[in-house]
Amino acid sequence: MSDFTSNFWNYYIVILTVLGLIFCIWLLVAVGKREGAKASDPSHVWDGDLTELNNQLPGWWRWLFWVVLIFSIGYLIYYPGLGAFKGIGGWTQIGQFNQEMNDLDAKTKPMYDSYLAMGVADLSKNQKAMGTAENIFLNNCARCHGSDARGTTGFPSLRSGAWSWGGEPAEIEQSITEGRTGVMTPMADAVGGPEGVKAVVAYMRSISNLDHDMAMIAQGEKLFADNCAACHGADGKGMKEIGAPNLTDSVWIHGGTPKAMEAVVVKGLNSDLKDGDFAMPAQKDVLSKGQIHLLTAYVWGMTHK
Amino acid sequence: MNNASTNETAPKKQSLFAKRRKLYVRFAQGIFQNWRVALVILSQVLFFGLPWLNWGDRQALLFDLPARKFYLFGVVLWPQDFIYLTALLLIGAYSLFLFTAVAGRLWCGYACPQTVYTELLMWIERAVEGNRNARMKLDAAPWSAQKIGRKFLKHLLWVIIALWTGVSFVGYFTPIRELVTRLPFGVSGWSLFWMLFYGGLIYFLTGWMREQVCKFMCPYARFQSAMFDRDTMIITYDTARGEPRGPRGRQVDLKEAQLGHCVDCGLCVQVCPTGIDIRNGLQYECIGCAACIDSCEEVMKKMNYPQGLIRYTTENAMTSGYSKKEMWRRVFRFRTLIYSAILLAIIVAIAVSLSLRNPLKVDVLRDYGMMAREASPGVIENVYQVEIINTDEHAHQFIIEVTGLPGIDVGELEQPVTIDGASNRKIPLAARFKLPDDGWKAGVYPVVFTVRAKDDDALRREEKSTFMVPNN
Amino acid sequence: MKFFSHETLETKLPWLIIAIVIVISIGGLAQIIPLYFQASVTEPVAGLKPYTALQLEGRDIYIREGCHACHSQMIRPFRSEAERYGHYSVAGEFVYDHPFQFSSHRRGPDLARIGGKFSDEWHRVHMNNPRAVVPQSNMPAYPWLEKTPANAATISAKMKGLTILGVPYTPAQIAAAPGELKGKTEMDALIAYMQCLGIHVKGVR
Repeated sequence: MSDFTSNFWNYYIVILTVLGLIFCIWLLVAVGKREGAKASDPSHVWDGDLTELNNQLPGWWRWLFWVVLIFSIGYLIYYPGLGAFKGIGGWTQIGQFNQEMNDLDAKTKPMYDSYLAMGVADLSKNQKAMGTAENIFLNNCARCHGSDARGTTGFPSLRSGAWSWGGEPAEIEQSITEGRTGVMTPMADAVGGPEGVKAVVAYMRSISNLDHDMAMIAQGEKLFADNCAACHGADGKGMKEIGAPNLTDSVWIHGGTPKAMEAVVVKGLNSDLKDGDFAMPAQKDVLSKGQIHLLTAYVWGMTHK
Repeated sequence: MNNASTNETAPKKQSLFAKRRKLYVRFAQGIFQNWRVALVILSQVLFFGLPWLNWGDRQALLFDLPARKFYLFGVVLWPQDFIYLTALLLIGAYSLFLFTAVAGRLWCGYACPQTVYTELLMWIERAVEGNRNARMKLDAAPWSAQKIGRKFLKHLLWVIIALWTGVSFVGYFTPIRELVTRLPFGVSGWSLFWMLFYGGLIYFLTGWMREQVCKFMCPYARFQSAMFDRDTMIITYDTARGEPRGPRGRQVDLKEAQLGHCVDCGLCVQVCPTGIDIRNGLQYECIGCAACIDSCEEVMKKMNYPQGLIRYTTENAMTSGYSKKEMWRRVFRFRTLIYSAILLAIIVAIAVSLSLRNPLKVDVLRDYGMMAREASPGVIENVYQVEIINTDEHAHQFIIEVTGLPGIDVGELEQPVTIDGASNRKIPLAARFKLPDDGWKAGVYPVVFTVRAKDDDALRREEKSTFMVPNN
Repeated sequence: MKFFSHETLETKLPWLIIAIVIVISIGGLAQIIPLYFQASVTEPVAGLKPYTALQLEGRDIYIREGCHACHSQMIRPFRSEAERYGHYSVAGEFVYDHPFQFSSHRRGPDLARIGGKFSDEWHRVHMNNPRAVVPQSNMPAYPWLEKTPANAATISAKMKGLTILGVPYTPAQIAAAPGELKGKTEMDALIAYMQCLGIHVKGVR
């Protein structure tokens, strides 16, 4: 990391460091040449009777100093230290970190390779693999989906059997790898204000066998066909290509009360996301292919015992 | 090569740094030397032997650092049991306080590895190069095939012992039976490093450095003196009895010749491993080995003088002329009783704690991201990770239960959960609470998770957590 | 008495002080000063913006309440840390921090990448009573934050001060700052600060 704004700093460091070393060496040589002091020749006397001799440093101390000096020269040659000079060892802090990560990858590679060679169905029956997968899940996924993978409001349950983006192994793997962000625009105006919202919700509740206001169904059905069917399908069964969920089942990711459903229709979902934001984050740069494959089997296996 | 007399005629230069004079320690014989020999043998039989003991199908004593598991015979300690190491250190510290308060530097004189290995290496030195006079003669003699041969043999034996100490040391941390089959080059880098490092320490510190370690390097040597008091038994030369010292025949009448009991034979100096003269009084270099007592007793016996010219005695006993009985009674003084009481308390505490130690450990972690969810109308769920750590050596089947709210249960968790011996697993589960029909106040409620083994009533642990009922 | 001698230094105290200062400065001169002139230390990472008025107020509350005494904001480049907290911290994430909150204690977890990991609601419950969501927590509760309005009176002055240190606030931002704090509590401010920590390096291991 020597991206100085000016080359001056390169020389500045080199000169200070080298001069410091030369000074230490000079000091050591100069002091080493000094004769041992004579008892009759004290360098000075303190408080009248405390005599301080200007004596030679102990031999072991001077030798140790030489060793340290030679070590520091070797250090400055091998490691980065002299300004922008990178050192012949090529060591960097980040390089060491990457090495640490790569060592782990290399160590676990045979295990993940053997799992990658297995199909998701087989893998989900492999107890040892699922033990590893469970740990990966708890460390990376449980914060949103819950440790038991049953999710909570806004974060889908992975055990419900309802898949907005498809529940086949390849689709799950895609969801984990690339992330998913389903967008629904606010619909309050399109359906004609609060009355329309209530009507649409009443219709949605009727097709999923929830208690509803019979009087509003007809209006709701028409509004649904005009405004919602494009994504959720004419029958309300959803469209997994764009993550539009099935509205006829009993699974409500954002809450199944009339109030919660109306709120979704009014506010939409993820429509105010800025560029680079996401609902479900992509894991391709966080987890390895093997880990994602293992997770896919773990998640798929939750609904395929 | 170093001859003591060459430095005597000091030239005009005066250095504050005295050159070390090599010590040729004469071997003492006597009761205290026997104690030391016994302790050297005992400690080394234990040190070299213990790694070879097996317990079941594993090493009985193994500190598996990478796996962070310590095997002590039937007990497996996990990092959570770190407190036992603290207790061990406390026992070590208070033992040092107690023994030092009673009889000075007993640790230094009899039990310290520096003393023990110096003793061991000096036995070899004596066996190869002969006694004190022979060794001095050998060093003074010009180099010859015989001298080189003896020196070589001595160092070879030293190195072998040192290296084997290194192997045994590493054998406490990696299974020794497997380790020795990989010697010398199949051993992993760090194992090899520690073998050479520990072996090298033994060789240099006890073969070459010897008393310099105690005099200049060891901090314990210095602060033990701070634990002495006027009733501490220390090795003392009885000046009143000994002086004036001087050589004499066996039949000489002491009164007439105006002599004390000290015959000034110099044996007490020759046997001293730190090269001091105990007759100059208590000195910081004295490691309390009592070799001077042993050597002096022999002389006293030959001269038909009473024993104990140099002996373990206390400052109070010397100045007030206590009898032996009086002196021993003062061993039981406030200070030593306090030390003993604390020591006893720690030992009892650790013994009780170890015997009651539950090999089952449980951690309940509530899901951080999620607070509570309504699984279906009126049913609240909170999600937890229950980490079960089975430090027992056998696998067990565990049942997890939760209590604290009416009708609360662990939902759809598949029970029992099997955890292998000496391993751990996190069990994700949702605790489920059906709100009573007449409602329930929102808030955070304490709940208790109980984990118990199906096959063993002793394996049972309760862990507190909280359950949140959200606002509607 | 020679001027440059052992005796001068030992008997003339001012000279001794000056000589000591010179000797011990050299390490700092060589190691610390050049850091101010390194691109990787002085240039913000992609997407990093100066704290908003609310986040800045939250940061001051973070400092006032002594959060830095227990929480670090510095993920070191070790596997153990990256696995637990996320990508190691890089200098460019802290260029608008005056002073930075690296801290050196971890009685609690590192917070360098806490942003976005928990919901605002979670933080609210947690600050009011940490034990409500983390039963084994030893963190003190901060219930007064929710009852204290954020201080809108001083925020503009703070932002002006930071512009002197090189934070690029525009006059418009400074003028709008008191309005942004209107109706907000200290809790809102602190949570806004928490939620923006470390979110600019994301999605990578």
